[in-house]
Amino acid sequence: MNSPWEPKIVAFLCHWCSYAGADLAGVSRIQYPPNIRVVRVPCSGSVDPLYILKALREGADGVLVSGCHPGDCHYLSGNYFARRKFLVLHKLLDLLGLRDRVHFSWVSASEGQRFADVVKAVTEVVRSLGPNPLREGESTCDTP
Amino acid sequence: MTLHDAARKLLEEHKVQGVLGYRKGSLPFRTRPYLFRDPCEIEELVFNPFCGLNLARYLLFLPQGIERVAIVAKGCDGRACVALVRENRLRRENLLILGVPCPGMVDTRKLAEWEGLKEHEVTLRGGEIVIRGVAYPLASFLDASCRRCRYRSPLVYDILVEGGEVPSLPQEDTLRELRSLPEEKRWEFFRKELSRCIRCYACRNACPMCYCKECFAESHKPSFLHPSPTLRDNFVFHIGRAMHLAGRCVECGACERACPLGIPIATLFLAVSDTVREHFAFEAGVDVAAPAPFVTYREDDPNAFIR
Amino acid sequence: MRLSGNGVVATREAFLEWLSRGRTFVTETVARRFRLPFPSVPTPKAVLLPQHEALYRFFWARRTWNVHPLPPEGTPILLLAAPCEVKAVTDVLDAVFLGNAPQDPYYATRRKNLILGALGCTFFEATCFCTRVGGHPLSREGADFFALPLSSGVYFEGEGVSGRPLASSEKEELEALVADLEKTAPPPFPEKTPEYLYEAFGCDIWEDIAWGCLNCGACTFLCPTCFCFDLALEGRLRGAMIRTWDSCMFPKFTLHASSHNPRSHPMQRVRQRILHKFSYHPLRKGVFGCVGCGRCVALCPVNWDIREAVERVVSCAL
Repeated sequence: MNSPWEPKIVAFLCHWCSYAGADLAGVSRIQYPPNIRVVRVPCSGSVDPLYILKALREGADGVLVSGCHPGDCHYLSGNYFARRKFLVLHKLLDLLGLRDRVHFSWVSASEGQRFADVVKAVTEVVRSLGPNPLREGESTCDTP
Repeated sequence: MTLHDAARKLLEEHKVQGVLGYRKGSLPFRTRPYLFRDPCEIEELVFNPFCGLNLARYLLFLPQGIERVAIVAKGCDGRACVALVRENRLRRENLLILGVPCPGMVDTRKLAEWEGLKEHEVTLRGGEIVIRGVAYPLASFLDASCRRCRYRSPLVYDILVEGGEVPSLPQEDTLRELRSLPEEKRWEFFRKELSRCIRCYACRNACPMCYCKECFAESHKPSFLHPSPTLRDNFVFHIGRAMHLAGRCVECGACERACPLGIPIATLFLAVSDTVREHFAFEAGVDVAAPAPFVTYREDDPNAFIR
Repeated sequence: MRLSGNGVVATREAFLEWLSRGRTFVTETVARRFRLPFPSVPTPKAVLLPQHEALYRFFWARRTWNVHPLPPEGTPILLLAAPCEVKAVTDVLDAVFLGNAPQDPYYATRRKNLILGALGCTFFEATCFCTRVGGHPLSREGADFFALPLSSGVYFEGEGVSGRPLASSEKEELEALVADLEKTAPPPFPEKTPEYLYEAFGCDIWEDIAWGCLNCGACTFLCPTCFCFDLALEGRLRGAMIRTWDSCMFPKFTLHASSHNPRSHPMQRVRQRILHKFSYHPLRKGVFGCVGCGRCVALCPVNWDIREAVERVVSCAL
């Protein structure tokens, strides 16, 4: 109860690249902050913006979506389609003043170190922002 | 041809079974949608600066027996028609677009300061609105979507009625002020506005492009948000809807005019439309043939925002 | 019951001073008509039946469900409302939540702690129709006190505010106001309206009446009498049971678990709204389920007017 606040970050990782990248970071014993909660998805193109919004709604302090580098998509073009959706969401959240709550990255299966760096950077940004502002007035759901 | 003549002729010659238009409402300055089926009723058809509703909404809920319908369309209604045809919700050949040039729709809430104002006390003169003999700039009575409107007359039409004079209002960037605020101030603004929402769904139901059989907001499996109008649930509803309307919003502002609480909700949709226009060179309801922005991509789409 | 005439006249300052002693709120209607220095609430309903409230909290621990009821705080609140809004509480909400056993304990606690004052109306707005459904702009029925702004001060009936008796000029002012309201009052709906509407259920006019309605919930959420609510769980292993307003205008309002929906068509939902307010409720409780405040008329996005709808159905049934 009294431990200092730590950001919780939901990470949607594509099965073919970023999830494997996270795996590589693990087997290579590369240290990165334990603040992320990984949700494996088939492709970054399958990440509906509503998933991201729902994660924020459920109290995540930040969201990271990561997929294959452009051109490397297992499904050829999933991440290109994803990029268009994410751009719109990014710009919209920017207008709302919540831009740094949601991050996107491209991490390949061979980039274990890069994955750890991305998580480190995202965790630091979200930590500097403080708790999710959508959680205000939420008290009924906390365990007493 | 005037609007009334055109509409009457269409009904008399049985070119259409109905004309979707506006009729005087039960309160001053209010108009309501009406489906004219009888040529004798046409004299009740009105088109004035208080027809803020987007009639294309009603094309999806026509009563039985109406095969071919004419719609009184200002620029944004016309765009909504095109967008609906593009999305295969309508057949172009069953639709007759009666284009009317639009002077911009006056936000009736802004007339509330004048107590007991009568309809005849308000007239439009060029780019000005005259209220009880005093002229004010029209732009200050229009809401954000009308102030930045690019297409006051429909782009696609079958008949363009004459007589409507379109004042040449400067096109304003209505989001500039908001964008220039620092991040915390922007969130402060949206936090306040989103918290006010009571989730009556008037904005969604007034929207010509919101026709999903089951809205994600009301879906139980999967459930994305709770029905209680808390800030976080309102956030998911409005941002989720803005994402669904990306590249589809026709920027009519009907949502904002429908909102019983006067939340400037169109801001979100206009911002999304700006992004789509700027980066994907697409505008909804402008070209029937252009591919939708999210079923296509370019390898050189913006990438700088991705780590 | 109309004005008894045996109230007192207090100064505006004394009246406001008396109001400021407690936690005082005014409804939006009152706030719009009179500039009073108090925070506003949309309707008394928003105080008595908040749009969302947690009824109990639950969590799974030690292999069992732990449930903690969350009774509302019993803070006394003073609310100044228009006479129609007072009627909405006493005639409709009280009858629904307290009229039959078991009473709603959440509502009952809030109601017990609510001091409800009526602030008389001095004119009819274009949307007002309280006199059509049995109300009156100067009615103090059901209110704990009644106030009416006069040119010389505030006319007050009830306990708490002291003042002087009505002067003859003020009596004349009151009488003139009553006479003026009498002249401009919209006439009541026909006496047998509930029966007519009940008979008109199968009338083929409904499609036509309902056309134009967007089926949004603006009217029901802004209505001072609409009391339908939904219960929805928030959270899984820990969370709360939350009561939220629901609206008969929403397609999921009557959706069955079997996926059958008895009111799947928008027309059926519009019909339900009218018949519930103007037929079922009066037939069961003896008063209209509508108090004629006109908020739904004023704020409907498409100017769908419930007064016209009732008139049309009545004329269809006649």
